[in-house]
Amino acid sequence: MGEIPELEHGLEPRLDTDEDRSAVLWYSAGRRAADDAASSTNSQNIAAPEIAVDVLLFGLLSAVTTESPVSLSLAGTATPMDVVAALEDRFGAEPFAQIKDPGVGILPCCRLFVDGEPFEDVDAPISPDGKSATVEMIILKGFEGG
Amino acid sequence: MNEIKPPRIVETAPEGDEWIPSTCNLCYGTCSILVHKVDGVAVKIEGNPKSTVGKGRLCGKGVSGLMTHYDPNRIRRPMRRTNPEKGIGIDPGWEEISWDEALNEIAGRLKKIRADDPRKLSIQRTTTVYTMGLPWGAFAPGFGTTNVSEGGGGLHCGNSAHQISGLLHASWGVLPDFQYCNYALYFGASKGHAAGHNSNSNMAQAADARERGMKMVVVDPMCNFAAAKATEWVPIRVGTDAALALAMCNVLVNELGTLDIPYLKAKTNGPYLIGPEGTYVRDGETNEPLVWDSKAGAAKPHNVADSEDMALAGEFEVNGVKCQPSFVLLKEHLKKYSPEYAEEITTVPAENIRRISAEFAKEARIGSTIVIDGVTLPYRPAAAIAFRGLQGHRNATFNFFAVLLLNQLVGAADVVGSCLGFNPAFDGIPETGRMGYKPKASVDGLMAVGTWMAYDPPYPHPEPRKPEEMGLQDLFIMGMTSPFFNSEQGEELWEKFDMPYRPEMLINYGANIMMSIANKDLIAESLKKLDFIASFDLFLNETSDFVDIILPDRGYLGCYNTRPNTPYIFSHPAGMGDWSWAIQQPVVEPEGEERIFADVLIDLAERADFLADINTAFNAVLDLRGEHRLQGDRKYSYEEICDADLKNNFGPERGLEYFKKEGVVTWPKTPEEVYWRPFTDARVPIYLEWMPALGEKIQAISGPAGLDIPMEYYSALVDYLPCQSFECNHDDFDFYTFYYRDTLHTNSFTMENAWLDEAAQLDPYSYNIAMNTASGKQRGLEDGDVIQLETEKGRQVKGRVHLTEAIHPEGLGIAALCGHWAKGMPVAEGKGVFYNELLELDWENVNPVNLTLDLCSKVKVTRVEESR
Repeated sequence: MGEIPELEHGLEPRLDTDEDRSAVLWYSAGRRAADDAASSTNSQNIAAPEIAVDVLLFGLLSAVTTESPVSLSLAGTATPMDVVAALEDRFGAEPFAQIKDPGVGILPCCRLFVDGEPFEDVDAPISPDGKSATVEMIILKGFEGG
Repeated sequence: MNEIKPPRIVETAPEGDEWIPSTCNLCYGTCSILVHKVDGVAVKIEGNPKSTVGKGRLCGKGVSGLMTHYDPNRIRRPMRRTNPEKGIGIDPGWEEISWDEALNEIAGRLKKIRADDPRKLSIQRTTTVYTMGLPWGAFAPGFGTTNVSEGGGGLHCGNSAHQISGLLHASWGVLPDFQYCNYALYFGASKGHAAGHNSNSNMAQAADARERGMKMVVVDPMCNFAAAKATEWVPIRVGTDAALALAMCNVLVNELGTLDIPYLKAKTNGPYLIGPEGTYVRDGETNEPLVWDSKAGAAKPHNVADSEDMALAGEFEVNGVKCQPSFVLLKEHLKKYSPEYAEEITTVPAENIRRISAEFAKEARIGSTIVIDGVTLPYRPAAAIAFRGLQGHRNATFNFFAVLLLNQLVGAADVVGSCLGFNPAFDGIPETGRMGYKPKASVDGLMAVGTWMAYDPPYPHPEPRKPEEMGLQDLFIMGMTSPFFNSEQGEELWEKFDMPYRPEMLINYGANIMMSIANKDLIAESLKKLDFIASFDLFLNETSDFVDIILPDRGYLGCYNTRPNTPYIFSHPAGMGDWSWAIQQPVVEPEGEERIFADVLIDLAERADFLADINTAFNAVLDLRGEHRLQGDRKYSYEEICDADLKNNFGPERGLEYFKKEGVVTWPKTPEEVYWRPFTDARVPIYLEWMPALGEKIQAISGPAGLDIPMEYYSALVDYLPCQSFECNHDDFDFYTFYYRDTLHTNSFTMENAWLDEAAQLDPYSYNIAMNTASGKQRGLEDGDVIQLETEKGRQVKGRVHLTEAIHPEGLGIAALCGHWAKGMPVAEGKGVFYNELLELDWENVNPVNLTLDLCSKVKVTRVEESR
């Protein structure tokens, strides 16, 4: 095959046979992340009084109970994982096995909303300000093909 | 260069004459369109030049949409079967009924099932013809079933392509960066040549690239859509692509030594230390994988050491454990894939393998940079891509991975000129910042996608569990589309796994599963067992023979969709240019008693008492916030939901009314979005460390149930593994059949379109069986003879042979899914070859990792005597 013709986009690639120009670009994101990690400070857990949490279960999870909302009293630092643990205590572990995973905690197919806002960090407190909260849970499935 | 024509919308159009912006659905390419309407009648469809999706162009399928819309064979009223006997070709005895009768019966059954076990409802739909998935994405979880099958083209979906593209490029698929790529290597793909995701834009970009001088080398059993326009066609034995790709990797690594070392150190798990068990050596404190820090002379966690100092070679001892970087294991592993070995497997001459490898390595221009819009970026103008052809085999996952590994070795991944995922990073809508996503580091520092078309991403994986999903995807956790969802083979497996329920009801949306999976007899048996089937359809097709109530759909010219192109990883142009957000809207009045299916679903939710659930599901699926969230059990029209979705994302001024008029909103991409890889601190695997353990976990569940996992499919290093058809060694079975997507047709649907049918009849390939001329002559065949293909297990199809030089001597190519027998599709009936009739539908023929069905078979060919 012949040589590749000159590019028509008018941009000059830079290639120096003695120097790998792209190496620094590959390394830079990791270095930036390391700097960010070094400068970050750990957040401190602050003891908080118990909070009232109303849980609304939808779709397949609604079969767990006719109680709606499910009213829980949880520690002020309660996370989504704590909410699920409390639901397991009340209704048994089996219905919630389908949303739990030893690796990722709560599977991404289970969507949570706290006071109407989507909530993704399963280890973060659902109510950092210590107020009561409403948690909605639903399992989503399905995908596109093509 | 191909210029985009000016917009056709004119401000001074005469009364009754208008151009309405919307979105095509004749395939899942979802190109933006303008529909010309005169006195209420749609008379022409063109591409919308205001949108980057299609770039003002439209393919033959798209312009033919009118013929589907006005087809007199369309279903226009709800109907109920009167004949209780169901079977292939048995007349259901349709009678027209009112919408109220239809919906009350369906809702009554839904209510009963929901109270019992909502998983007993299964939902089947297709992305082709009907890409409007959002309402189903809310209906199914609102009802409570997890049994949803949404494969494009039935089972002929890019199952593994999506999964591995997600793992390595955080996207649904890959393609060359057409604007800057100089050397594109295609394996079983036709991206940019009239097929697949974002086809019209890609066609324009690919044409411009070829005109600019981009060289295309196409590896394919058939010289058709991409290969016919290529610089070089590399004919390959069906299903052996992994052997070729791994041999090329071997040449790069062990013969040429042409590697992007900084890329491998910084962006892959190549430096991760592997112990004698084949697993990562981990830090005792953090459990993170360790690398060898050459500068410090010690092992460090991957997220502590500087990538530049990470060793890619050598043998080390860490806490008494001998270990090596995974790249060393890959390098050794590849040595068995010599070009000579690959030649035996693939029939591609070893010298060609070496030459193409060297060309690819040279054109990758390792080490170079380029400036795009003021941003300095790595420049790698070479790309190896693949798609459905290569991955439609039992070795689907490794086939695809092997090709993409080529890019990883030379750093040609998501940088200028390289192999690109389709838009894995998006900064969000400029005015609101909504909908943004980007890849990020996840477990063990490996990349997780920023967005995905399914709810379980390709990495990290959930733990496999005893299956309770009909498709078994909760056990085969890398599986997506499953052949066991609607088949009698599924029943056998459900029994093995003691599934706690069985499906009782199916709601189908536009899928023709009798044709689109395999072995229609097994599908028929499974459909007959269901108590009730409701189906939204345009025509009475082969699956309709098993349906209890048919509901007339309005089709894509009569429906709303606020997100035909988002998330952008599915069907939106990659590379530099613009972002476009288009909508789909009704452009014509309903015919007969057609209704918008989304409103029908909401109506069913109301009648079956789960409106609050479907509203919550819409909130979740659309991520509706604040005032835009759907409230309680209020009933909304789908128009209202569309308006909420658009205002939620674009602000109060740009709701449905704005988009109805404008059709599309467009804004420019940034280099950091398009070429995101250098800016993201995440690695991708070249060594699949977790796979053996995953295989063992699945075996621990499946083994006791009598289903053994072939562990060679779960190795950490990818291999070529032959298809089931290669085990057939009878002398007279000497052709490998393969199915390919025709550019004139979309799966099994468009054969009913009169214009497309006419074009296909003029095309020597669409309805015929392609055979190499010399191979045909050797067997005494002449062009036009009718031949019969028969598999070792006696499965047969007949068709007319077309002799051509443009196919591998051992291959038989059959286009699309033709051969309809339904009387409700008279244009399609009897045309072409029903390829799927050749396919087995069983465990032995699926990829044991993600359940992709092998689409090749080995056959003997006989001439049908009366054919001349």
